[in-house]
Order: sequence, then C-alpha cells, then structure tokens
Amino acid sequence: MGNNYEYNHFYNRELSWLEFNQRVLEEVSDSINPLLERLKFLAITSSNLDEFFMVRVAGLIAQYEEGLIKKDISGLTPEDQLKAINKRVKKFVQDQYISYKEVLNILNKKNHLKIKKYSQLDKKQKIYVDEFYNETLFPILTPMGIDVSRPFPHILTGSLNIVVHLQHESEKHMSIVQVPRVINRIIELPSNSGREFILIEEIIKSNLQDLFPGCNILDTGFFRITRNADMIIDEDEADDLLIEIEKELQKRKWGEPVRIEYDKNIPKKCLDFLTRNLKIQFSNLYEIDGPLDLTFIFELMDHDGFKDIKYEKYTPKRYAQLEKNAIYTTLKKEDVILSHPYDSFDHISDLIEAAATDKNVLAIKQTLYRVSGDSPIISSLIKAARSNKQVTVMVELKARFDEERNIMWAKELEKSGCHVIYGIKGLKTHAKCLLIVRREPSGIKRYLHLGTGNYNNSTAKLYTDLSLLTTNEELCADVSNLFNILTGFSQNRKWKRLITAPKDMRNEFYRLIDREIQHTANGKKGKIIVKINSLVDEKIIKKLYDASRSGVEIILIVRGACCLKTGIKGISENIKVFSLIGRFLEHTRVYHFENNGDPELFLSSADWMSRNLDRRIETLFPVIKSGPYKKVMETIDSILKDNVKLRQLDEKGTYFKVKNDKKNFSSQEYLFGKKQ
Amino acid sequence: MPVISVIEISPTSVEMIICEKSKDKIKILENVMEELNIFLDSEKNNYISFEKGKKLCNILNRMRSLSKDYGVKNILTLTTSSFNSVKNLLFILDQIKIKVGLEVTVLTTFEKKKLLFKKFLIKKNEIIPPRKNTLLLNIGSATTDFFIINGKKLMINEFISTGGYKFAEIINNYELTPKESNNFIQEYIENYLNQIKKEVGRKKINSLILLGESENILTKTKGQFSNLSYEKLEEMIENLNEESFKNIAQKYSLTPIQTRTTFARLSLLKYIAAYFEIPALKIFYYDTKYLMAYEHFYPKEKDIMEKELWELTIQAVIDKANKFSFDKNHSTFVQNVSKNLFDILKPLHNMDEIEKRHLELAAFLHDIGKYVNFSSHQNHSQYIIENSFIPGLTEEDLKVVGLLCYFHNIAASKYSENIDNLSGKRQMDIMKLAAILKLSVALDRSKRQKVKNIKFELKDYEIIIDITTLEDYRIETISFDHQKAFFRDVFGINPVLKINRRLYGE
Repeated sequence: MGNNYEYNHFYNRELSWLEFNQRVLEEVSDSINPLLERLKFLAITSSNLDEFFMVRVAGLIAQYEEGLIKKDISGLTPEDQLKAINKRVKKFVQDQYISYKEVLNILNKKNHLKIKKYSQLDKKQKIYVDEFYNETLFPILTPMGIDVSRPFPHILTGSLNIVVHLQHESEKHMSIVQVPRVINRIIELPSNSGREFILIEEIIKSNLQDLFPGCNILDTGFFRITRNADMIIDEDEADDLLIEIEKELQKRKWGEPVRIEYDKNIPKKCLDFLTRNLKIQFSNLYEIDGPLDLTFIFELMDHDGFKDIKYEKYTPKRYAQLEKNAIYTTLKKEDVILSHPYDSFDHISDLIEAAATDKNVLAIKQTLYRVSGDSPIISSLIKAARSNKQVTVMVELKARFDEERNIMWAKELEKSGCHVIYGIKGLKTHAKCLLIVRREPSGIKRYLHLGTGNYNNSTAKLYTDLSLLTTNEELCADVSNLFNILTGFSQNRKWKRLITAPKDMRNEFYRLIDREIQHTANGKKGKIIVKINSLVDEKIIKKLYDASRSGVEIILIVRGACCLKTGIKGISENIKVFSLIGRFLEHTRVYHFENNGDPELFLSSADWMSRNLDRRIETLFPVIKSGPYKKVMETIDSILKDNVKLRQLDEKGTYFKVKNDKKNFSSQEYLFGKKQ
Repeated sequence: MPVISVIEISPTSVEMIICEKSKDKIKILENVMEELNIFLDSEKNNYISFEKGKKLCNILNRMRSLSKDYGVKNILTLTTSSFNSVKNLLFILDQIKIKVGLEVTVLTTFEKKKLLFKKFLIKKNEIIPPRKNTLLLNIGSATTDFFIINGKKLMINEFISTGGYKFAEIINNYELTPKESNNFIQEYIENYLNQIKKEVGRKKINSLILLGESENILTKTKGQFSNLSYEKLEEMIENLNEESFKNIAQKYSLTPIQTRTTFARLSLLKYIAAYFEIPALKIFYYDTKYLMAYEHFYPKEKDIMEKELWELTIQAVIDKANKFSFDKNHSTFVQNVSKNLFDILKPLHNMDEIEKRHLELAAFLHDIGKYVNFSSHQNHSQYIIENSFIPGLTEEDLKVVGLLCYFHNIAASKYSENIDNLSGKRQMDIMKLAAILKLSVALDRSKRQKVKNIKFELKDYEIIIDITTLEDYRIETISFDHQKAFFRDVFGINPVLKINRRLYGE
C-alpha cells in the first residue's frame, strides 16, 4: 500500500456489503415497521444475497480458481475472502430464519396470516390443495431420474428442487423434481380462521407419490442452487452485440454452481449425492431452517388486503406547473428538481408521452439502463417513432439481470423505427439522460432530464432518486454531445458543464476534494457531504483520508458497502459515515463541496466505485445555487436529522442507530409529507 | 428560425455543425466530428477504397440523421481541393448522392483560399493591426500560404506546396520523434523561407496570425482569437520534444494523426516566427463551416464581405499587373468604359456582378502579356492569369478572365474553338463580355486617353457612344469600326460612335 495507508485502514468490500444486508435484516426486527413489511425486508435480503453469490462470490471463486492471490484493499486474498464470506453468511442465514419465524409467529398470533405445512391443513383445505395439485401442478411436473444411463440433470439457477430417493423393486436411485416457476409459489387456502397460505413445494412434496408410481419414496429434501451469472462477452469479436448477449444469456443459466441451499431436514444421503454431483467449492452449502428462497414473500405482498400490516399508501406529489404543456413554460423559466418517490416520476413519463404526440417535437433521445416490465416510457418512444419523430435510444444490453428484458425492448424499439444504439465498446452506459428537441417560435429548444436513477416506473416508486429538469443550454449541448458520442461520433469539443466518466469524472472528484483540502490549508473551512450507494474505490477513499487529515469535515451517507473506516486516529477522525435503510431504497447520488462558502452541488448516476468511475459512462451534473439547490440540500439535511432509521458506522465497523433526545424524526416519512 | 447543417469532409475527418439563425447571431446546436483518414488512400493511390467510401457514406448518413433531429432540410456539404486529384472522386460523389442524398461541393484550392480570406475579412478590424505588416499564415493539409497585409492592402502572397498533414505523414511513415520532426521541418522549410524573405526585403513583419485548427488543445489557448508569445511557444515545443507522440496523444486526447499534424503546424509556426523575428503571435480560429452558415443566413453580409474581398482582389490584380509593367492609365480607361457599357447593356445581357468583375479584371490585365512579347501578347496574358493566384478569385474566375484577355486581340472567328466545352449561356456571356472589352480597348487604341468625356445611350437597335475629344481620334475610330461588327453580331444592336469636338463649357 502506498500513501502511508495500510490494509487495516480499509474494510473488505464483500464483508462490508454483507453488513449492509445485515442492516436490511435488522429492519425485520424493527417493530416500527408494519408486520408484513418486516417480512418483505427478509425477501429483500434473500434476493440481495442471491445476486451477491451470482456475481461477487462467483467472481471470487473464479479468481481463486485461476490461482490469483492478489490482496484486496483490506489485505485479503480471494481465498481469505471466500472463507470469511462463508462464515459470515452462515451466521446471517441463521439470523434470517430466526427473524422469519419470529415475524410469522406474531402474524399468526395476531391472526393476520398463517403459512401452513401440508400436515397442518384441515380436510377442506386438503381437498382444495390436492385438487390444485392435480389440475395445475401435476401436468407441469417432470421428474428427472438419475442413474447410470441418465446423468445428473442441469438444474436451473435459483430454482427450487426436490431431491427424491426412490426404490423400484430392488434398485435404488435418485430423482429430481423442479418446483415450477411459472405459477405463484404461495397460494391462499380456503379458511374460516383468518388468512392462510401454503407454499407449492409443500403440496408437491406431499403428492410426490403420484409422480413415481410403483416406486417407494425413501427420502426427500428441498434444495436450491445458485450459479455464476457473470457473462463474458468479447465485444471486439462481437459483430452484433445483441445476438452475442442473447447467446451468453443462454449460457448463464448453466454457469458453474456457487452455492447450494438445502432444507435442514434433507437426509445425509441426498445431500451427499448433491454435493458429489454439483462440486461446490468452499463449503458454500447452507442449511436452511425454513422455506428456501424467501423471495416468495414478494408474492405474498401482492395479495389483496393486509392493509393494517402494510405501509400506509402514499400518493406521490404532482405539480400543476409540470403538467402537459405547462412543463415547457416552467422549464424555460427555471430548473426543477423532483425528489422521487415523494414527487411523482409520472411527470417524467408524461413528458415523454407528451413529446411523442407533440407536433413541435422533432427528436427524443434517451438512455435506458433498467426499464420496468410494462414500461410506459417504451410505449411512448414507440409512439414517437411511429409519429415520424427522430427517436434515439441507448439501450444498455449489459445491465446485469436485466439483459433479457433490455434485449426485448431493444428489438421492440428497433421494429418501430427508433434508432437503437448499444453504446461504446467495453463500457456500460449507466448515465440517465433524456433530451427532447422541440421547435418553438423562438427557435430550437432542448428540454433535458438528468437523473440519479433509472427510467423505471416501478422502481421509481420504491427508490429515492433525484431528477433534474432543465433547459440550460450548456447542459443540453453537453448531453447532445454525449448522445453523439454514444451514437459513434468522436468527441469534438470540451464539456461545458457536464462531467462524464470514464473520461473526466475521477479527476474532477480529485480536484473538488483537493480544493477543500486547499481551503483548510489556507485556514478556511473545508467540508464535503456525499450521499451514495457504495464507497469502495480505493483511490477516492485515500483522497478522503487525505482530506480528513488536513481537517476537512466529511459526512458520507452510504447506503451499501463502504470500505472506508471511520475513527482511525490521524487518518479518518474527521469522517462520519451514515447509512439509512428504510421503506424506500436510498438511491440518490449527491455530492456537495462547501468550497469556502461558495458551495458546489452535483447529482450523479455514479457511486464512488471503480466500475462507475472507470468502466461506465456516467454523468455528474451541477445544481446551481440559484436553482433548486435548496430542495436537494433539504433532502440531505433531513437524512442527517433522522433519528429513526439512520445508522452510523463506528470505529469497530458496527453500524449503530442514531439516537438522540429529540422527537422521533424519520427522513423518508418527512419527505413524503407524513407529520413528524 | 431557419436551421441548417454544414458538413466538411477533410482529409482526416468529417465534421458537421448544425446551426440556427437567431436574431443577431448563429447558434451552434451540434458540432460533431468523425475521424476518417481518406487522404491516406487518395494520396497514395489517388483512389478512395471501397471500405473508406462505405465508411464515409455511413458517417454522412449518421450526420444526416442527426440533422433530422433538428428538422434540418438544408445540408451544405463541402470538401476540399485535396480530393480533386482522386481518380474515383466522381464515383464517390455519385455514391454519396445516391446512398446519402447529399450533393457534395468540391472546393478548388482557390475557392478554399477565397473562404480563408473571407474569414480574415469578417474579423479584420479585430485581428489585423492598422498600418502594420501582418503575416497571415494558413497551414493547410498540403499547402502553406503566406499573405503579408498592411492595413487593407495585400503586399505579398506566396505559398509552398507542403502543409501540416503532409508533414504528419512523413513523421508517421519515418517514425520520427517530436525532436526529429522539429529538426526535419526546420530544414525542410528553410529554403522556401529564404525565397520569401527576398520578396519581403527589408520590410519588418510586426505580427503573425495563424489560422488555427487544433492548436488550442496543445497551447491551451482559449477563444476565437488568442495571443501566444513566442517564448511560450518555444517552451511548449521544447517540452513536447521530450515526449513521445503516443504520450502527447494520450495526454491531450488527440488521435495519432491529429497529434502529428498539430505538432507539425506548431513547429512550422515557431520556425517561421523565429525566421522573420516576429514576437507577437496570434491564432485565429474561424471555422469554414461557420462561415458557410453565416453566408447562408445573412446574404446581405455576404455581399458586403464580397465587396471587401473585391477591393483586396483589385489591389492584388494591380500588384500583379505592376509586376508586368502594365499601362495603368490605359487599363483604368478600359475598365471604366467596360463597366459603363456593361451597365447600360444590362437589358441585353442580364449578367450578374461576377461577370462584371471578370470584365473589369480583364480590362486591367489584358495587356500584361506584352511584358513577355508584343507578338501574340494575348496568349501570354492568358497564360500568366491562368497560372496565378489572386485572392478572392477561383480557378474558374481566372479562366474566364484569361479567356477575355486572350479574346481581346484575336479574331472572333477563333473564339468558338476555345469555349465550345462550355454551356450555351456561358459561351454567350463570354462573347458578350469580349465584345464589350474589345470595343472599350478600341476607344483607347492609342493608349493616350484622348477622350475627355463619354456618354452612352441605348436605343432599340443601336447604342450611341458619345465622346468628346479635341485630339485626333482617327486611330480609335478605325479600331472601333473594326470591332463593331462583332459587337453588333453579339448584342444585335449597332454601336455608333459620335464624336464631339468641343468640351463642355467651351
């Protein structure tokens, strides 16, 4: 390590991320949260962990298998990290299921809902369930026998399976039954005593005999595997990126297995059979004391009712000055910041929809990273193209886990006449930009939206993000330029106000931090406030340590992984790290530099992660002091005032809830207008 | 508000601006560039490869598509004279027309230089110091122009047949380091500068203005018109000498060919400044595309600019004529009479200002061939004109002026063999101009400007040329009679010479 910083001055990224997931898990136990929402946090942790294994653990395993021994920022080799992860996840999973049972018990006791085992069903329910099995499940179940002539089958990543030990006459063999994914995993039972549910694997397991007539079922057990989901695409060789990614997606279903989760009651024989055939490294075998894959809770949330045990419904704010054509007049006068989900994201969708049918609109240009399933934005873009407007859409085909959906959208958009581009070779386009070119009596006018979050109407209701709407000519020209670069033109001029990665953003951050250092060196005040999702970039952390050492006050609100350690004597004593986990996923990226009383505020699509700064196309854009600066800073101030959901990182690496004598104040509740 | 796109295909790139005319200025909406080294092919083989042609069409299609984003209906596409030597240029232009739908205007060397002068003129008050000798330096791809201007007067115009791109190619092909490139450029240019120095004589050149391209990237100068001290330039080149071209390219985000071209241009600038001991250097950035847009949006301004350029042209023509010891009084007489005749005959020829200018220039230059030989001097005049560069004039202009000068002294029966490749209208125009010129020359056949007053009156079938003279006007009368038949044939009116022997007021 250079710059006098040692390995022990940093946290390991993966372990830090696991601590983030732990913070989410703690929400399950927080009695402030409505009961069903507490369960939902469990589903989130489960889904998070799946992705963590599919990408991060898979990556570490690949490094280990290649014999890499390079230490990470915290001095751990890939092998060290895998071991540490394994240990931490085992404890985490235990905690998960303890919490699961706790909340279910309360739900049951309070007669809100019950998830039953097959053995717990009453007669009427049994009839209902068996009928459901016969009519719906049985026709789609395909047992896969394994013996000398039938090798171990390919098990889909993330699928739930039942391993069945069978005896047919004198021969014993194994078979695997995949729990179908095409139907809901949790079904509601007819009940006279509150709402009761059953998981379909319970139904299948209890009716297994039907699948194996003439066989004796000796043992059964549930298991689930997670595979490496990383795609390797050689963009130099790819003639058509879309086709190449489609091919890779097919392969991903069969990536190397990186984790097996199994039911606690699985017989040893079955487990041995699985581990022997699946060749799992690093004891990534996780015993589960409860239903595997808790993401079924998301389905449960979709059931009607449960009003009392869900969050109170909220209606995002809409603004008259942003409705229909009024938005053009408003934006010509002033910049607007929308704080989602408190302010409706529909204003953005509506803007695109209005543009699609506005005869004065000549062109629409947009980046798409993650789009919702039934995206109104896509429909509007298609409509615009069909109305002979020039529509350019940068669809990022490499957006992890959204590749398939994005390919589908890309094809739809192309078919309708949109000019679809896939970005620059080797870089993911993560910037969120929308540019509308409109012909007006005074000349060509460009309307610009820049965001910290995706153009995704579903997540925009759950993630906190900021939108800047502006007609600032310099920013509009810069974003036009960005689209030109994305469509393949060489860069031809200097950026005026926009800062982009990978070209300039890293150095710009260094410059901004250095300026604060310089201010403190000159006896003035230096202060940085940053709100991001992850802080894992080594060079930025070192720069922050440098700043802290020179007396700059640094406040970091980092939702997820944070490799920076606070409270290291002589290094990071001036740095405070906070994390807020709440009803909405904190997703805004805000960078504020005090600049000795002449503050500069930026919003961005980028976190302080190497991937954002070096391997993605990202934007960092200013919010000017005379503009909607105040609204952004109010958001930040409210987070720092939070004494309900805000946690702070201590010098031991533990996040503790911020408590004070003041009246309870929840930033998220405050921002969506609930009285505090 | 009208919006247009201007695309320029240069040897190393294709660039486009989309601009909108607003109340008092041109607003640039888009400015894009795509690198494409077409020149490499055309220089080596005088042939643009299929692949390059395809790529060019793709780039132009993308630019056309981007233009549509702004509702552009008018796209001006131009390319430089460098492409004139390309063997398959016609095919490429045809492919662009069919596959992209764009008509490309191929600028000749002189048309490009004409634009260059317009650029200077448009900002002359800001950039050219009054009453001081200023060297305007235009380092093109394959040529370098030297223009020395004093106030509004063009003192010297010379060029050498090498430019930034040609040097870059040598640097690249021979893998020269920056330091080696610098030495190479210095040695290469020295002979040429010695020649120019002879013309400059003891005149002091006070300032040097370079028409800029991408120098601002290396010099970090800002603005359309930026100052650069010689010391700073020298220091910068010395620093660059210590680096590799690869490093320079990375450091300044330039392409390899841009790096070498820009370096070569700055090295040339430095050496020329040192040679002529010019301490004050300025770089003037003015985009050809912007100028095209300006002329498109503001036709009145274009006329004003053309007028100013015309003044410069006349000076250069006089300068040229002086070199060949022309008879200024005779030429001025012929110019005036020609102009007047052109104007009064307007209903019969319907020609424009440009043809009038051709006539005026021919009036000035028709006899310069006499410097070579009296006999067949019209041939020499034509040759000299067609092989000269005169600011503001294109090759086509010079060809017409040359033809008029040739025609002034040969029988009309021989005209057609020289112009039969031109369109009917063009042939007719040239013959009408020649008829005017011949008649004007005849009125001063003795070259003694005997006419004290001259009036023209156009009637249905005749034009009365009413002159007042006290001198013997016989030689002019004979000459006039000799030329009038052709005039009558061409215009369908009879020229009648009316001689008054009394001065007004007598």
